[in-house]
This record gives sequence, structure tokens and C-alpha cells, in this order.
Amino acid sequence: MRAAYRTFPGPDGSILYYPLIRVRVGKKRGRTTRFFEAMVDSGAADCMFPESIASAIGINIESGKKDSRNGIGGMQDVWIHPIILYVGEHALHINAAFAKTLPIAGLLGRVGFFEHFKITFDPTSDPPALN
Amino acid sequence: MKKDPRSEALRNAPLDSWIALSDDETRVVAQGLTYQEVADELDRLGDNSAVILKTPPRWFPLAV
Repeated sequence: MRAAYRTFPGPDGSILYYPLIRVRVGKKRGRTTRFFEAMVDSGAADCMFPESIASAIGINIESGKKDSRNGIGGMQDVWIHPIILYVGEHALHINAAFAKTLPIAGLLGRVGFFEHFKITFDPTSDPPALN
Repeated sequence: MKKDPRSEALRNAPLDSWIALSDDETRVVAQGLTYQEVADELDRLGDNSAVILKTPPRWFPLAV
């Protein structure tokens, strides 16, 4: 699978490229989201999603095991829940961290995502892509 | 500067919101304050191919 980076607007009319892919998440024997864009982030310890995604699949985030995550913006509380992450034809049963807010719809990190695939970032292609 | 319909559509989209882009990623077809509001709007429109995104509070470069 090869996925071109997706663009976001940058300052002063510029265009920024990010490794975003379309995924869905769901609960076993429960609801599944529509496709949304999540960032492939090798710096993230695990997969994180905002409360809005949790609510859509019937998860009350504070019912999960409470934990914390350190990010560039500081530390935040997260709650862990088992979910199914749908990536391409793969259905991955993972434990994901849910936060009250995130600036994007999802982060795909090492545990739960990178451990299942061999991923190569290729910023030399036009547009940049990941394999 | 290179034209990019997707980033132009996003630049005009509401900030700190949930939005849906058309399957070809050139148009915002739904928006709301939560993922569910956008999903419900797509249901109402009968759109099964749009992709949902969360927009940040400002379009600064991301460091997550």
C-alpha cells in the first residue's frame, strides 16, 4: 500500500504535507465510525483519538483505565479502551488511548499500529508518500 | 505558488471543528462541533464516500 501525504494549509498561503491516512475505528459487536484521517506518527507511543471519536462508537472515555501521555504541548490524561482499528483490509484489535481533546482526529503510533506493518516514509517523492 | 484544491478547501473551513471533505478532497461537504454532528449530516446527505477530519485551532505547522 502506498499513500500520498495529504495537505494542510500552512502560513502565508503555503501548503504543508503530512502522513495522514484514512482509517475507521469500532467496538467489537458495536458501532464503527466512518472513514476519518489519522496521522501516522512514529514518535507517538501508541494510538490516540479524541473523545468525539469515542462517543461516536459508544465509549464513555472515563470508564477506561486512566493513564497519562507526554506530548509537545505537555502532559494530558488519557483513558485506555480496547477497539478495532480498520486500516485498509486490516482489522487490528488494539488498546487505544482516548483524550478529551486532540488537534487532529487521530494519531497512529508504535503500539497498535507500527507493530503491525513495515512502514517507510518517502519525502523524496512528489508528492511525499508512505509505503 | 502551487494550487492545491484540498488545502484551499481546508483554509476556508471552520477552525477547531469537525468537517467532511468530498471523496476527491476538493470541497467541504459537512461541518460540526463533534464527529457525530458531521456523521449525522453525511447520513442526511446520503454521502458514504466523504472523509472526516478535525481542523486545528489555527493552521500552524503541527507538532504533535
